[in-house]
Amino acid sequence: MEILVRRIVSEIGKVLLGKEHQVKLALTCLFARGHLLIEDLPGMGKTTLAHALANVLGLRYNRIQFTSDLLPADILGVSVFDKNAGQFEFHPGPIFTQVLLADEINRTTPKTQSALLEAMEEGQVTVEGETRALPDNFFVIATQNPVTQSGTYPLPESQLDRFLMRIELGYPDRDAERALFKGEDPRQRLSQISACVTPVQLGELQSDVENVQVADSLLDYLQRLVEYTRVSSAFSYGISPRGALALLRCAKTWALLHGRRHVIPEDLQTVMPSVVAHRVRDAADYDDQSGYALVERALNGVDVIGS
Amino acid sequence: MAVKYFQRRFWRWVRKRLPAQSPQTLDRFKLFIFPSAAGAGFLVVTLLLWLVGTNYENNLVIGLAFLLTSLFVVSILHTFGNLSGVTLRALDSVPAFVGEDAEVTLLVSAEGGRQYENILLGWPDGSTVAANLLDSRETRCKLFVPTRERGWMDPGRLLVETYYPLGLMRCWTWLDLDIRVLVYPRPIYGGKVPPAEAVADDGSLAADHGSEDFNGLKAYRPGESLRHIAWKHYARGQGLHTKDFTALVDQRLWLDWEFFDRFDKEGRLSRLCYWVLEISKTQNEYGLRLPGVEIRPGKGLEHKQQVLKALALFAPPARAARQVAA
Amino acid sequence: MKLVYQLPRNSLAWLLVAQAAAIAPHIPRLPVWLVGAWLFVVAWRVQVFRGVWAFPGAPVKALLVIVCGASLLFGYGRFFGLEPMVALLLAAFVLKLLEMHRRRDALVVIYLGFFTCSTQLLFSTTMPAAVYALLCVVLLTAALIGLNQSEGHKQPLRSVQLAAKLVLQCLPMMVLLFLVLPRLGALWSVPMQQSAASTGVSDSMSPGDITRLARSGGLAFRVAFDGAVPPPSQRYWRGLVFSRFDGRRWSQARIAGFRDGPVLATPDNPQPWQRLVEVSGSSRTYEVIMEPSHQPWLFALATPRDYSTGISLTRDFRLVYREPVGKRLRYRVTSYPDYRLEAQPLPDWRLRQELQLPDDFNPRARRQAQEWYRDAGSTEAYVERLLDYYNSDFTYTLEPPPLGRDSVDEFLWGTKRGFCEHFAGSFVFMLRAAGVPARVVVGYLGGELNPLEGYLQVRQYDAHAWAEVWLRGRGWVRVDPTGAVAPERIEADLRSALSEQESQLVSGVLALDRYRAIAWLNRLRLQWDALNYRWHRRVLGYDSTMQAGLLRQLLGEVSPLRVALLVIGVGGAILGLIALRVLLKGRKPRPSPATRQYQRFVRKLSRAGLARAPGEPPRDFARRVATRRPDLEQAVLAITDLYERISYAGQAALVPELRRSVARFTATRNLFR
Repeated sequence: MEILVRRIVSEIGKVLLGKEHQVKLALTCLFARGHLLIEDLPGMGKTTLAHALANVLGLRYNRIQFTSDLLPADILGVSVFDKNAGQFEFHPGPIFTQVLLADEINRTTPKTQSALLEAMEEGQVTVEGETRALPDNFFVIATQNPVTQSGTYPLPESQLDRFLMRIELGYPDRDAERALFKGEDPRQRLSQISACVTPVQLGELQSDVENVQVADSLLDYLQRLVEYTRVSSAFSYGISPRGALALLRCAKTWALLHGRRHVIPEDLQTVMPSVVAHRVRDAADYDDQSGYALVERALNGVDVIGS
Repeated sequence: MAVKYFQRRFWRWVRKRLPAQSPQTLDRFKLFIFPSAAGAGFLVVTLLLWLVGTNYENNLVIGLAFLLTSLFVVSILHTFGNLSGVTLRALDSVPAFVGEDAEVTLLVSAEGGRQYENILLGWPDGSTVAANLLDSRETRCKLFVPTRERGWMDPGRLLVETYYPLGLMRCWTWLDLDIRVLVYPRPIYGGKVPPAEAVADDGSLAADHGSEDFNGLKAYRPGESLRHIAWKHYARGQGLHTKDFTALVDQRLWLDWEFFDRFDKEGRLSRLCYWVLEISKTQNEYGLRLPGVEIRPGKGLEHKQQVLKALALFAPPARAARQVAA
Repeated sequence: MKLVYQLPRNSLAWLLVAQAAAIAPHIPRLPVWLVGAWLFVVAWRVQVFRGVWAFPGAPVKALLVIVCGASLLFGYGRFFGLEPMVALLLAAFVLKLLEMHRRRDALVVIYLGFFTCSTQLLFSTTMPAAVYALLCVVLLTAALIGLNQSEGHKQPLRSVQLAAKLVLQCLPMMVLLFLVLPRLGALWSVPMQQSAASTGVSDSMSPGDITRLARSGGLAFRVAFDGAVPPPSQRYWRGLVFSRFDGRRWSQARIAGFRDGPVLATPDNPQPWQRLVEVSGSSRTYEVIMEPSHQPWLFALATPRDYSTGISLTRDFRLVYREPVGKRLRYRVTSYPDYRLEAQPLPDWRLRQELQLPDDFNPRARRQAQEWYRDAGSTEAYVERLLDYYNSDFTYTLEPPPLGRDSVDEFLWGTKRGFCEHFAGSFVFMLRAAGVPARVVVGYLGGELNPLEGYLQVRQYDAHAWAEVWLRGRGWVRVDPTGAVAPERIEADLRSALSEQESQLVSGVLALDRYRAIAWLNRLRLQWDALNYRWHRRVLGYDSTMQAGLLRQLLGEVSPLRVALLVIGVGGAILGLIALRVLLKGRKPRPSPATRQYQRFVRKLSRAGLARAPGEPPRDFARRVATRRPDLEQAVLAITDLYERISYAGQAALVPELRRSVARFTATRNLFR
């Protein structure tokens, strides 16, 4: 397992330099059957990550660029009257794929956003009264520009909640960037990436997450953390039960990715910023703490061991 | 006089013993316990029973009297136990206007497996709320406390008491949970805002897809609301059009300290407060000018709270204060 | 309409239940209308709670109070007395329901309930009654708890569970107070129960009286001997002496008939006639716990010498109490089986008393008596002659045929079937008719030995009548003519003396002692009675004497200081235990063993300047320590790994290893290594 993960990470490392942690988080999200939201500036390698992930897992890949005039039908597909056959024929939209990169999701109108998010939630698409299932291993990587940029429609909390994780890729470090400058365009190496996992293996991995052991002491810690976010005056509202479940699931997956059959506090701590930061809100003190700072506060404030 | 002196001494002692802090866990250093009136009555009943038993030389009645005596004693422990170990934490408070009751949310929680019932929380002049921790480990209580003057208000010591289980004992404490409640001035209607002053320099008309004023027609795009389709035009065969509406972005208002120079300081603040509430019901942007304070025009809940907070906390600089006095 | 305080549903429900429980045992004693009024008031109160009816107005309440008070006064004819007072209390208890507006009113009702509960114990002090009273207290406590719970409490059982728990916790403390707190005697006189019918042998005897008693299985008294229990034939419990006969009824001699001073002697006030008894030989000391008979006479073996205070000796050398025995009475007596009573020749006035017979009754018996006495030659021989006659063809039976005017004649030569009173009565008649002083003695004979506790229980069917004959030079001698007919009655008990069919008549059908043949049931019955006996002796009979004895045993020397120390010490211990139970529950749960070990390990590192931040997970902490102190790396990683495996991978078996590792671990630099 660990070997497999290392192979995947190193494969992706060929195209995305120095982003091992983010890659692992993305994998965690995928194995936990969740969707991923990447919030970063353009040109940081979001597309590369999505494409590489699809390649390495042997999945089909599609990309949608979200713009303000994008309509739901542009994503889901439309029925077109076929004159030869004399009947309507459904032309599936780009959403019918396995790995979908929804680029700059906050550039489009809430209507289109919610069409995508509903499809993500239900794993199926309803067009003109007909329900069509999306393929297995349907995994959305949505990217979002920082909300402070103009001309954006920020996703409401209820929609954010549908993403299992939100991560930032960040700038590459010096060495990685140097290598980038020296080397050829990493996108050209995308084709060199070979699939490391078969779909069957992927399914096994995903169901294996259930078998990761969670001890009572870890659940105690999780509950303390959740309680802290609900009680602390720094939080406007705390982690919802769904958020807590997501956190646990990701921690289990993270443990599995690291070859462990049980969850340790470090797993929880590692995944918590990505899983929780977009689900909490700071209190109305307006001192502009982002979700990450709040999570940091919770992690520092709650005793891991208990008393 | 002497009573007051001892009261002062007493509260000083309480302050020292129970300093302001949140959260606080109740323990034997913080709790007081004494028989209640019902407990005194119970003792009288017990004594009467003992007399009956003694006079009739009936050991069972004497035994019953002793049973009630032990019940009294044991209830001390249980009543004490009904507060001991409980943690109280002030969560947040909702600002109020002078004269209204401010809302304070407390979190009552406990570790361990004990069940707590009927813990009464309240300020001496506010409402009393009963908290139960039966099958849960924590509960939130909303308390209301009357407000008297604007600014940051300290509601005083919270009286936490319980009579549970038998009502024979009263176990209580006064806690200072370090709660601050923001109290806005009492809104008083008075005088119109001078319209000339109200029109600000940079008021402009901005076209936007609002719904206030009809602005014209434009071609229908799939997905637009059917409510706005101009059916009359469609019936005339002019195709599908949507009625376009525009909201006026109104003039920006400045609420100025000088508007209400007929009134004293509190009177002015009260009128300003009234106008803040009135204007914030519309879509207008408004700003606030007080001596030494200026808040740029804006709108929305946050802006309103910011303005009200400024009114609540306003203390005139020395010069302004003199003017007011004059 | 004014806003009324609505009693919480939980509280009202428990209050009504508790009230029903407290009133139930009183119902047989109460006038029927009061029970009806109670049910009506309960219905009204429930309707008030449901919002259907309103509380009654002041005039209605006043009317109710007046009607109830007047009815009680009219019904009982007085207020001062236990029954009317209790009825009054119950009326208040019931009517207060209609005035229960506020919390305080509910409190008053509950407190009245405690009173009601105690009055029930004034009427009955049996063990079941005590247990029932305890149940009432639990219910009343539940009502009290309900009153202090938040409104809308939805778990009524929780109240009663907690009440039961509280009362249980109180019991040790109650026992301590009961045992140790000083007892005062009655402070002032109080009205006693008056309506109860007297039970047991009565102050006169006519044919059929004792037969009736024999059908009752009720307990008369229990006796515990200090030494060996005498054989059944020696257990003649003298109660009354009958010297007057009016042709049908035997009764006591008139007090005025005694010419040598007052008929009652007490230790404080001895009488000259007490010299008429001479005792010799060994004595028997025993303690009697007598059930209420509502008669003043007590029962003792002949002839009593020393006895508890409050008891007097009568001129006919039996014991009476200063008042009718209205509640269970415990007394000690020392008797001397070897005695000579009035051995000196009787004075004329005594002879007249003990030879008195009505003139024109039983002519045949009078003739026959003089004839037989002449034939016999001596008193002793005459007695033998009479007993032989009884022995010839008389039948001892519980169902004697009725007798006419000349009852002795009809019995001796007609029916020849009789019970002890027939034999004793006719025997004494025959003696008197022959000029021999004789009298009838009534009391109990025998008693069943309880092998578990070694005491006798004497029941009503042990009631017996026998004779005392005055013999020259020997005084009064006990002669039991029943023995001549049915010796089993004297040697064993009543049942064995009767035919099988008749023994079924003894006591009620359901009385347990009818099933003596069934071994386990009999054992159960004896155990139950032994338990009752202990209850009466140790609990109901616990008085200042027993208390002093107990305290001496516990403390060596009884002084207020020592008693106070005992109360404080034992009471403190009891309360301490309860406090532990009550308060520890509110504490945080203890961390797991592995966590405690890990915390110990963290403390050790902290002392070495390597403190763990609260949010720092074990592995991160270990790495940080390892970078700062490479010398500790191995140990720290090992301990962390152990802790992680126990705590997060469920390998609890590693706890001992972790404990050892932590114990061995030291973070201070060892300079000498």
